[in-house]
Amino acid sequence: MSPSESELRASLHAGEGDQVDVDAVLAQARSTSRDRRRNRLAIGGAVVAVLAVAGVITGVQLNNDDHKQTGAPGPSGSPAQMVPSCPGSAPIVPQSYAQATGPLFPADVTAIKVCLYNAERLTKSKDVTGPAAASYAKRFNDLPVVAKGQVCPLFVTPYTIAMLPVTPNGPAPTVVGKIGGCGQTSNGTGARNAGDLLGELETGMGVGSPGGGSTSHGPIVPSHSVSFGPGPS
Amino acid sequence: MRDETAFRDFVQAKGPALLHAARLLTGDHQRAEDLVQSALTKLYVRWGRTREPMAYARRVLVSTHIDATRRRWWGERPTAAVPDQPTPDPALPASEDRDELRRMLRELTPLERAVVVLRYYCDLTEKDTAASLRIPVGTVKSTAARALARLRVEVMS
Repeated sequence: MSPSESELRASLHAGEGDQVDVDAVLAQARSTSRDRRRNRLAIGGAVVAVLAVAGVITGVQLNNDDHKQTGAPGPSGSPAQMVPSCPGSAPIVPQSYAQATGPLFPADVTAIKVCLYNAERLTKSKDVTGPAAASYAKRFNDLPVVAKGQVCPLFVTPYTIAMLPVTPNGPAPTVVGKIGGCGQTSNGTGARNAGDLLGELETGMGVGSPGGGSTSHGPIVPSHSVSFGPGPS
Repeated sequence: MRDETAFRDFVQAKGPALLHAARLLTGDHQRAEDLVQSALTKLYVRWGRTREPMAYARRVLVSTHIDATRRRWWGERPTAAVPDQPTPDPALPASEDRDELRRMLRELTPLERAVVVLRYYCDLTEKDTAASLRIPVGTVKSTAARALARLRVEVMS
């Protein structure tokens, strides 16, 4: 005969009444609770330590990056403090152009910062130092002084070259030349038509050393010629 | 701060019922004591933060037991030395029906056993049983019906 539901209940209740050792339960519970708290603290401490180490490492790396940026050498490897940096936008050719008979560069030039601008934007720069700088300075100065009333062709490109000479006594006045036309170049007290030299400088900026070659921005017209169209091919 | 006096009172009052339920679940007094200890330890950790300590203890008891039956590989390992087996008290006349029911209870699945214990020993409703086991009420009904059928208990309509 199958047992009934009430018999099942009675059967399940039979034998109950055994006491639980409260002290043992409490001791075990306290110990477990203590262990859990200790583990939680250890994990929290480990997380804090890892975060602290990560923070220190990040800080050190950022600090190193800052040092690298501030101590970086100049673009050509020459001492950065010697050669001034290029103006942000193209300077204009000084206005006292026709009457200026003085030299473009001081005789004791040790370095020239050459800055090439397309319209107003600085596109390239180069440091010319040592004998090359002195040679360039001499060649510019040796060009014939601009004759009074000379007419230049209207051919004008958007390219400007600014040259920032450096002497043992410090920076000298900036020499600005306009590529195209006569290649008008002036520092305010001296003026030359230096189309060939400007073209050479511009080309040299691409090859890394002063040298020959024609400009890629149209012909540089010699100062004595007069033309109203594209120059001779 | 944990109120240990209240916890102690709770264990003294409800401990025997929990221990017996654990014995029905495990079919073994030693494992039942371990199960109760484990459940009461979890309750101790949450003491003061649970509104119904007995319901929580019961839920932990059955879930710990079911988990233990699932995770055999990191639970107790078989041993060659068998511990002392409990011997029936000759002063208590054992009913053959009762022994037969207990034996058949051990043959149920852990979930079926949990449902039977909660429904017919702890006298929980189907809804409370479902809440304790975190299963739907329908599952409680079907599991209870299956368990009773295996126990060959006549269900009163």
